[in-house]
This record gives sequence, C-alpha cells and structure tokens, in this order.
Amino acid sequence: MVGSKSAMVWVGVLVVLFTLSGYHVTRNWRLQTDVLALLPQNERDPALQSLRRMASGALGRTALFVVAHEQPQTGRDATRQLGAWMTASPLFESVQWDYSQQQHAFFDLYFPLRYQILSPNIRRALDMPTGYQALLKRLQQTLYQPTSAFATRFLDQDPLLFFPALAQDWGQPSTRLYVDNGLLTGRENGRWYAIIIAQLAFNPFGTQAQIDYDAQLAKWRRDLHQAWPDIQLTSTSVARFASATRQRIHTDIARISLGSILGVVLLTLSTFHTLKHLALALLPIGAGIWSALGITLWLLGELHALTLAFGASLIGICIDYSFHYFAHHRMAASWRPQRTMQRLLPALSLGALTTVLSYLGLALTPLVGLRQIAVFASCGILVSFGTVVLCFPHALRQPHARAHQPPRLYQGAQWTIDLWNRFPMLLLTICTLGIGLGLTGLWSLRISDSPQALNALPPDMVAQDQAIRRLLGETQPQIHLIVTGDSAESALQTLENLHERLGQLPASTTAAPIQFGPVLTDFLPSMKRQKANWAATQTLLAQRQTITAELIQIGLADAPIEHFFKTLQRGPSPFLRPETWLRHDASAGLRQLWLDETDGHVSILVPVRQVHDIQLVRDVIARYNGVYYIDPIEDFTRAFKRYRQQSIHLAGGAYLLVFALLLWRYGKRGVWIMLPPLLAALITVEVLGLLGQTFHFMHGLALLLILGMGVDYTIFLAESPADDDPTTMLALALSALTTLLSFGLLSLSSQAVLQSIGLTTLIGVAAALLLAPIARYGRRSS
Amino acid sequence: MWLVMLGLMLTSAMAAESAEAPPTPCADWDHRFQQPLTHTMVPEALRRILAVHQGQGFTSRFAETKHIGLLRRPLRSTGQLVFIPRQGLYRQLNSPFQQEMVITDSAIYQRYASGATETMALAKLPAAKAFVEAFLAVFSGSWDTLHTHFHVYFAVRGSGWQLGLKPTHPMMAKLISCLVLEGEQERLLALHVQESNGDVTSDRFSDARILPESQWAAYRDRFHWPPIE
Repeated sequence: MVGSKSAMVWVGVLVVLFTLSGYHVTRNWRLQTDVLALLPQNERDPALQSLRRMASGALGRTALFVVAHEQPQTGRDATRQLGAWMTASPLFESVQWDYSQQQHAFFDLYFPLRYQILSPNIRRALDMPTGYQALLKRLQQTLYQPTSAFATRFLDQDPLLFFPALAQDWGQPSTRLYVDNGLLTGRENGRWYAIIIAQLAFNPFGTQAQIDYDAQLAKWRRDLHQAWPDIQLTSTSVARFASATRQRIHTDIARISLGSILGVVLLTLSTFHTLKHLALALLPIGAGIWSALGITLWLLGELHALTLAFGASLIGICIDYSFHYFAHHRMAASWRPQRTMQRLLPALSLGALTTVLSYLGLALTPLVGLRQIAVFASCGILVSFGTVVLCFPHALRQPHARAHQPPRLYQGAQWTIDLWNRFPMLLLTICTLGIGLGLTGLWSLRISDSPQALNALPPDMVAQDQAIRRLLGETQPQIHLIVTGDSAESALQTLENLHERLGQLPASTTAAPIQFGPVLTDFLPSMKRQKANWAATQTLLAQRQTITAELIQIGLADAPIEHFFKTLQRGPSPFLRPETWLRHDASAGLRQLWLDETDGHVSILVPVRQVHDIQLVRDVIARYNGVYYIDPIEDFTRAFKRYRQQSIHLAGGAYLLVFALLLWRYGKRGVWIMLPPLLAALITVEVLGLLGQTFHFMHGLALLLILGMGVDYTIFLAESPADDDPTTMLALALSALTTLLSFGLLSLSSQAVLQSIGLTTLIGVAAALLLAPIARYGRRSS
Repeated sequence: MWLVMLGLMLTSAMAAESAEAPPTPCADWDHRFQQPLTHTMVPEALRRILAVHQGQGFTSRFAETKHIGLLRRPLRSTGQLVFIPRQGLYRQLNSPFQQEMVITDSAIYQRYASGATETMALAKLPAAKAFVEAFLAVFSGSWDTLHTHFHVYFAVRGSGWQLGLKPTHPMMAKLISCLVLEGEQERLLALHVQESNGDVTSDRFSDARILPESQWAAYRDRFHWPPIE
C-alpha cells in the first residue's frame, strides 16, 4: 500500500529537488549551442582534436565580410565606413580592412631580412656554383623590361633584386584578390567587392553576445543601405551559424513543448473531462522536467540546447504513468485508489525501469550530448513515476463521475482487443506478410556516416558562406594539414621539408597533386632555413670581384655595390622569430596559420586549395611525424562510423539484456512480451529504408528508445488481467498518442540529430502499439 | 589569407637617388601643353591620327634608351614591336640579349633565349595591371580608351606633333609621371616614359606601319603562350 507517509516523504523529496533545480537554474544556467561540445572530450582522433582547437581558437572567431557594389568608388566608400564602425566596436578584437599601411608593414619587416628570407628561385641560384651569373642575368633582364619600374626602386639597397623576387613570389599563389586603394578587392560578375576580415572579441557560442552581434550587424546593414542603397553586405562566421542554430533550437523547443502540452491537454480533457485530471497530469510532467533540469546541471555543469529540445519531447513520456492510473480511474465502477495503484505498480515499475534503462544506454556512448539526454530523460522519468505512484492515490479518492460512460478512445481500444481476440492468426499473418514485404526496405536501406547527413545549417547561410570563401579563392576550405612539433622551430622545419617534398611530387597532366593556400614558412621560415639562406648569400662574397665588374658593366654606381657587399660582410640582421612575427602588423591576415602553442607544442595550419591525388599526398604525409591530413568530412565520417557500430552493438546488447530480464520474470512467455518491440524495431528499419532515409548512428540509438517504450506497452498488457485489456489498451493508446505527438514534433526539428531520433521513434512506437496485443500470449494463465 | 606583395613596391621607403639627370619628357608641361583635352575638344589632327590607328595593329622596330637614375649610363636595346588589338603587345628584344615578351590585359609572358619562360598574372598585381592597361591603351588608337586611363594633352610642333599623357589611375600615377608620344602626320616616331623617380625610357620607332586585320594572322603565333594556371 502506498501510504500517506510515503506521499509526504515524496513531497519532501520534490521540494528538495525543486529547490536544487531552482538554485542551479538561476546560478549555473549555461545553455551550450556549440555542436563540437557534443563530441567526446577525450576524443583522440587528431582530426577532431584539431577541429576543436580551430573552432575554439582564432579561426573559430574569424568573421568575414564582403561589401559589393557595381561602382568601385561607392564600394570603397562603404567598405571604409563599415571598417571604421567595426574598428570602433567592442565586438571585435581586430579588424583588417585597410591594407594601405600593411604594405609598409611588410616592407618594414621583410626588407631588412632580404638576405635571410629568400625567394626559392634566388636560393636555388645561390646553391649553384655559378648561380651568381644567373642572378646577374636576371638583373639585366629585369632592367630591360618595360615593367622595370617595379624593381629599379630597390637597386641602391638591393642591387641583385632579392626583395622584389621575394615579393613577386608572395604575389604568385592563385587568388582572386588584390590590394587596390588600400582595400582587399576583387571582381566577380561585373561587381566590385572588398573583403574585411575580423576577429570576434567574444565566444561565438555565447547567447547574449550572439544577440548583440546580430543586432549590431543589422543596424550597420540598415545604415549602409541608407547611405548607399544598392550596396550589398554579406558575412559569414561561426557566431552567425551558432546564432542561427540557437534560434532554430529555441523555436524547436517552443514548438515541441507547446505541441506536446496541447496534445496532453486535449487528450486529457476529452478522455477524462475534468480540470482536476488535467492539473494532476501536468504535475508529474512539470516535476519531472524541472527536476531533470536541475539534476543535469548539477551533475554535468551545463545543458546543451539539443538536450533541452529533446527534453521537451519527454512530456509525451512522463504523462504515461498518469494515463495508466487515470484510465483505470476513468473506467472503474468501484474505485479503490490504493488497491489500483498496488495492482498497477509491477507494470508501472517494470515499464519505468525498461524505459530508463533504454535511455541510460545512451549514456554508454562516448557522446557528451547523448549522455546529457540520458541523465535528463532518466531523471525526468523517475521523478514523474515517483510522483504518480506516491501522490496520485491520495489525489483521486473519489470514483470518476462518468465511469459508466466510456470515452470514444475506450471504444476504439475495445475494438482493437476484440479484433485481436477474433482474428489473431489473420492479424499475425498480416503482420508477418507486412514485415516480409517490408524487407525490400531493409535491403534498400542506405547507410551513411557522413556528417553531412546531420547537417542542419540553414542552406542559405551555407550558400553564402561558400560564396564568400569562393571569393577568397578557397575551393576546398575544409581540407587542411596540421603540422605539429615539440617546438616552434621543429614545426617550422617539418613544414618546410614537407612543403618541399610535396612540391616535388610529379604533376598530372592537369595539375600538381596538391595546391596550398598561404604557407606559413613562406613568411616565417625556420631559423635553420634563415641561417642557411644567409650562408648561401655569403657565397657571393667569394665572387665579389666578378660581380662588382658585372654590376659596373651594367652601369651601377660604386656606392650601392660597396654597400651590398658590406651588408653581406656585416652579418645578418636579427633572425625573424615567431613571437616577433606574430606581433608585427605584417602578419595580420596570416596569424590564424599559427594555430596554437601549448606547453611548447606547436601546431601550424596549412590550408589546402585543391587536392588532385589524395593517395599520393597521404603517402608522403605518412612519412612525417606530427603531420595530419584533415578532411573534416572524412574524419567525422570515420568517427561517426565508429559511433554507428557502437550504437548497433549497444542496441543489440540492450535488447538481449531486456529479453533476459523478461525471461527471468516470465519464463518462456517472455518471448511473446519481447516480440512486439523486437518486430517494431525491424519494421522501423524497413520503413526507414522504404522512405529513402539514410541510416546513421542516431537511428541506431533511437532503436534503444523503441525498446524501452515498446516493452513498456507489452509489460502492461502481460501484467493486466484479461478483463482489464480494454482499459489497459486505452492507457496505452493515450500514452502512445502523446509519445507519437512529442516524437512526431521532434521529427520536424530543425536539427538533423533530433529529426532522426524523432522519426525513428515515431515509427517504432506506432508499430509497437499496434503489435502490443501479441504480448497477451505472454500473460500468466489465471 | 595573403596579400599581393608587389603593391608594397609602390610604398618603398627608399628614395632612389639619381646618379645623373636623365632627359625629362614631363618638363615644362604646362608650357608645351595648354590644358588637358576633353571629348569635345579633340583637335582634328589628333582625330586623324587616332582614326588611322583605331582598331588596327601596329608593327615597328624600336631602339630603346633607358635612363635609370642609379645607373651611370643608359641601357640601350633594340628589337621589334607588334601590337594586335585584343591580343596584346608582342615585344622582341634582339640586343643586348634575346628575349620575347607578350603583354596582355591579363598577364605578362616572357621567354628567354634559353627557352625558360615566366608568366606573371596581372590579376594579383594591380599596379602592373594598371600599367599594362595604360600601356596598351597607348596603342589602341581609341580616344575613349586613352581618356579612361590618362589626362590627354596634344600639341603640334611644326610638321610634327606630341601627344602627352598623364595617368589617371592612382597606382599608375605613383609609378609613371607622364608619357609623351611623338609623330609626324600619322606616323608614330617615338614614345617617352618618365617614371615618378625620374627614370626615363625613350623608344624610337623605325619601319613603323599599320597592320590591317588581314595581316594579323601572320603574327598570331607570337601570341600563343601557355595559359595561366
């Protein structure tokens, strides 16, 4: 018997839980929207580690802006205005738009180092015994060109034109951009555009910061349009995507919550007809979700928005225990609240246990997000269960006023039971045939571990991001190399060796095997390289006489020649160190290549423009320690494949465990009880195949939920006497309808992860409900 | 993200000191040319000259003298020029060494006697691009094209004439102070270019002739170069 003392204790527990939740929600509320936060923290995959570092570092805070207009001057004016606003805004740590001084900065930094940082062509010439002749010839050829004006300015300080050669090399990589009037510009389809690159001063996943950022961008856009109506401003950044994701998740939460609550209200009122039932129905839901919030925050420290969105669907599950009790109250001519609860308790307990176990199975996955869902759902279900079992018998003491008037749904439940009673073999045959025919769905099921199957980013934003990156010349922005080292010098040397080695790979008829974006060591060579360059220039001293004669022959005055050799004799300028380079204005726009430096471990990012022969490139990279080829699509696919295999093993193990439990409790009859959820899982996979869905690890995990809820239904039917079948079926129908509503709304989520869980569970629960009457064959004979 | 570096050459902190004073085509400009021309002020003589060249090719031998302030003596070279509209300018250097160069609005191609080639895409080199566009405009014979890139001046000197050009593009103006073309009747005799640092290049043309379109095919092979990657 569930006594009043137990109820009082439970109320006390609820008060404690509510207080705990109130404390954590008000003090520790942190809603996480970073998708990478769902990944295992200890994921050792170097690709995922590098992605996490990139997302949390400079790259994650990079924002790109494109100002476009048909008229260059208008575009320039608008760009300068926007650049000024952004520079003055606290939202940005740095804003790079004015490159007019950067050219000075490059000159200021690199000209003094012109004999230590060499163009590869110059270095190759110096490495040859008669290379000085090639340099002199090159000088002569340059002077006779119509475009010699670009080089002759350096003659007195750099008579062999080392610096112009270096600068020309920097201008070589394929890019559509160039500096014009101090702005980084380009042209496409007749429109002029300029690029502004900024670093955000805030965490892109911070909610309030996102709101402020969005508002400020909108204002700037309005102000620009007011001054220049045809100006076009587009932007992309992690913050923008995170903000869109956050807003969509909030919409999902609102839709699922409201829809589920509305469903509960309508079903409760139409079936039970009293506001008391409605108020009671909402009590375990509220208690369960509020407690789940607090406990999850307490145990895990934060809540991911996806967990919250999923949690909204718990409404449809937490109501189940209420419905079972209400159904018996509704139909009981002679109402005994405590006795009814005592009778229902084994089924309620076992049902709650299997549901909680199925959710806890998610906690065995390495994904942080799923562990949160597991804790959240388990807490919510247990608190709802406890509230119903301990409190409801004291709340519903009187019989239902309309106990003698069965609701329509009861008639439907009765009809279903009658159908199963009269045509069991026919229905079983139909089920078997249906499952047999559905096998085509099983064969046609496509499996994909690609993260693109879980891509929930707004298509227009993705298109805009791709368009902006195309303007920057990034054709394959996801692919890159990460070069690591125990020190800055070691990482830089590795990169130099690798770059050289990859540059020596034979080109196909169409292109080199790999084409890089900017390579850090072109701008920041290793100390070893700088010293070797300097040593190479010293070989010119041995040819001083010959070189001097040639230069005089060309017409150069004595002073610059003398100055040149004195510079070589004097010794090198201080070699360029990473810390100097990172602080200098010349490195603006390139600093994100220096990925991070932690505990002396350095990582360098090498963007890749195109890869034409992946295998050849990988074979080369494999020979280097600490070099990783990162293709996020490929790497996430590998990780998700691992998760999918784990999820299938987990689901399989869970089904076996539950089956073992049922066999322990019911003996051989446990087979009948296990059959409906098992068939429901099979039907679900078949239907997914017939719908053309692509199976991934989230579908595998959703099979766990089908097990939990499916066994719930069959246990109730197995535990209830035959006379109670229609009432039990009524309760199951009500439970299933709210569950179907919640997961149905979840399947409409903007987030692919939730969509797949929602759709899979929707199909599975519907099949489990329809097949649940089979479990009556597992009933103990009276 | 990386930048075009060649632009920094324009902002070099170094000031080239002239070893000796070269000729100055830009000198006494206001005295020689009264005011820049506008569309409504184009003299008849200039119209005739432009009409002869417009849409036509051009070929000539040239003898070039380049006064670079840092050099003690001028650089002298000889060669041949071929200009074909929409193809670009082909420049063959015969002395003091062999070199071929093609300048188009998208790239500069060079080939040396050794067979070595170099290509410089202009998209990434705004200064060079501006220079090339202006340079090609000189040979275009089109008033509109000239006026787009230059402030245009014109003066008649006896039987000869001078066409003075000052760049309008800021980047070009930082490099080039002025260009002066000299001619007699419809014949182009010389081109003088003065750079902003005082260096002067003078080209004297001989055996110059207009190339009508029917004769372009004979020169097409000189403009065939590998495409830019």
